[in-house]
Amino acid sequence: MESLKAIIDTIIPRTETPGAVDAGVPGYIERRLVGSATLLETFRTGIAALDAAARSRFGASLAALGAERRLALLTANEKAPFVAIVKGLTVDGYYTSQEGLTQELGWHGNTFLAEFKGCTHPEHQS
Amino acid sequence: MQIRKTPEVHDVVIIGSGAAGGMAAWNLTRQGMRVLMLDAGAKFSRSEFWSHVKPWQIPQRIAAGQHPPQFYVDLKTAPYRVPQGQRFDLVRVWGRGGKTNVWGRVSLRYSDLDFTSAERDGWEIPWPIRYRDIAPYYDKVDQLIGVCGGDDDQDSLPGSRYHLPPPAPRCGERLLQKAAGRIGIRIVAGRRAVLTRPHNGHAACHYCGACGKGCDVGAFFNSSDYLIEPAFTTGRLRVIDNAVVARVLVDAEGRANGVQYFDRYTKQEQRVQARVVIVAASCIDSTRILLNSKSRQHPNGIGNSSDVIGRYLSEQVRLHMFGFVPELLGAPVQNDDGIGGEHVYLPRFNHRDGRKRDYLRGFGMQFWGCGAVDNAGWARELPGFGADFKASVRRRYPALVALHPYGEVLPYADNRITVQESDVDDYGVPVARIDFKYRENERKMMTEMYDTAAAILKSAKAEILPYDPTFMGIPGQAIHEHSTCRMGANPKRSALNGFCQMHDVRNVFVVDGAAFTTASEKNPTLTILALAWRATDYLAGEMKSKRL
Repeated sequence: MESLKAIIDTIIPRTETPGAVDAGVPGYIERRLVGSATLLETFRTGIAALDAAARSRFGASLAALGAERRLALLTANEKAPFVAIVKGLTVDGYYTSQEGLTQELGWHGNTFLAEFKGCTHPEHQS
Repeated sequence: MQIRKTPEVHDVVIIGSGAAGGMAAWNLTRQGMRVLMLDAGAKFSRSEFWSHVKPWQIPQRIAAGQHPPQFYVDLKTAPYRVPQGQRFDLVRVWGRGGKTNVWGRVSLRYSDLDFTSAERDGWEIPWPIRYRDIAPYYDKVDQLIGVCGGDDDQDSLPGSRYHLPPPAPRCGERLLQKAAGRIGIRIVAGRRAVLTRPHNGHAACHYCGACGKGCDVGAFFNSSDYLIEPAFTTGRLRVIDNAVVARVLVDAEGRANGVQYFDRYTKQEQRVQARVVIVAASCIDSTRILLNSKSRQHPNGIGNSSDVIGRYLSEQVRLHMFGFVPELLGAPVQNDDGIGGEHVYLPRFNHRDGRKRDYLRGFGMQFWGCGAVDNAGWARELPGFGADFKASVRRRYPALVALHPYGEVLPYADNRITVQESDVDDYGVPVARIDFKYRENERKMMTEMYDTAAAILKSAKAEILPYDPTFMGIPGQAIHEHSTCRMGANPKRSALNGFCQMHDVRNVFVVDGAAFTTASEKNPTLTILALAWRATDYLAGEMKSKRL
């Protein structure tokens, strides 16, 4: 699980706002894996392949790599199907978390408004 | 198994509680008829809707063993089949109000461009009605349920004097409107059954944007609160919950005299008697009931001497294209919830420029999901990882625009629902087999749909999210099934007359989407309501004058 956490942290790291690990995305993904044996297997083999790539390229396990090397590793494997899947789930988990949606993106919807003003920018009107 | 028979003979039994069944119950009870409604589920409780549950609270609640209302019926309870290698994603809600609990609320009037399409292009049969026949009913429906929108009349999209004020467009919608205008395409105010002010005792929208989870205050039309509850106040409506209808029953002359159903949970068989049967179980389930209603007098299913029932299944083909408009990149995030879904609509225009198309019929366009929404699922399509990726998502987030063209699928005799005696559900009733394919006409129309959406985005100087222009979408996902028990003037080529009454069996009416002669490019619910009102006005007249 340390390897999965390292991947998730590489996809969306902590910056001036919380990252995907801060937002609980590892737990979000684990809950998904519990529900699907196929997905779990995809993750097992996918993580093992990335870990093997880390060892052959950098001589260290994925979890032990520094941020820069992890980023280089993911970038080199961007087209791998597993990488697309873990990226998709990280995006889903992070941008529906309170940290990702409200702190990072600034969403402040699903509330009660008496009036909806819509676009008020004079330059957008026709 | 012991079969119990209720001795009472009801004036009318209605199968289904959605838009069609709710309208029939409301209109008939207020005209003095005693109505029994059979609902495959039960009433949903608004106080239990998850309208105001935030996205991050959903997994927490589910982990704690809580569930939102189970609107959608599962495939174990309600199985259906598709041929090997094909798909048809059928969405059904069993319970009071049916799909109107969670519907998209787009409320577009059909025009004579739709009603006369077959006269112009010769494809299949014409509708037996014209806009002038249904217009008074559109007016009445607009006034009853409350539809917000523009009154800008178009030949492809009639306006209404009775629309409530439309909500202001969001920034992204405004920019698309301007961009489309620059290339000669007109985007107008949408027409949606959402209350932008209090209406007929129903609360106004509070702009939370969570309509897809059901509205906790009932600020958009749903059949339960707007039709069935008022019908109860007449004292002439009775509803049996969890009644899963199997067949329409007939007497020795082949006239309908009742309905056979099974209790959803105990699976016990029941029968009820009625002078008139109204079928309103939504297109595919209604059709399955009719095809399963076989008898000596109706060996091919009730009312099906023409062999059209089950055929001509049509819906809409659609696509989803996304982009980011430059004016809003990195802009302050606004609350873009509005009435949930789009505030603008692009009416069909391909008949107007005089250029002959290599396909028949047309398409319109919806714009749900423009602006700041409660996820960023599109971000998986952006390249890269890390802090740069995160920054690129944040910059694009307020600038998202979404384009969803919907095009008419032609009626084809072989796009078809059938049943087989050997293939049954847990109630022992044959299940529907849905054989549906898009064809050449749809593929050609899709090309122009993709080109039009891309042209608007290019005119807006938007960055376009990558898309596959050969992708035809998944059949069924528009959730607009039609035409499998179509109306028409010729009893040899249609099952119903213009009042949704069977040609073969005068005391059976089919009032949902199955009755439509064509699909058109428009969302059907408003027209279902208008047709069901018109049909039940006619039915009440026939019953009062003892012709039925």
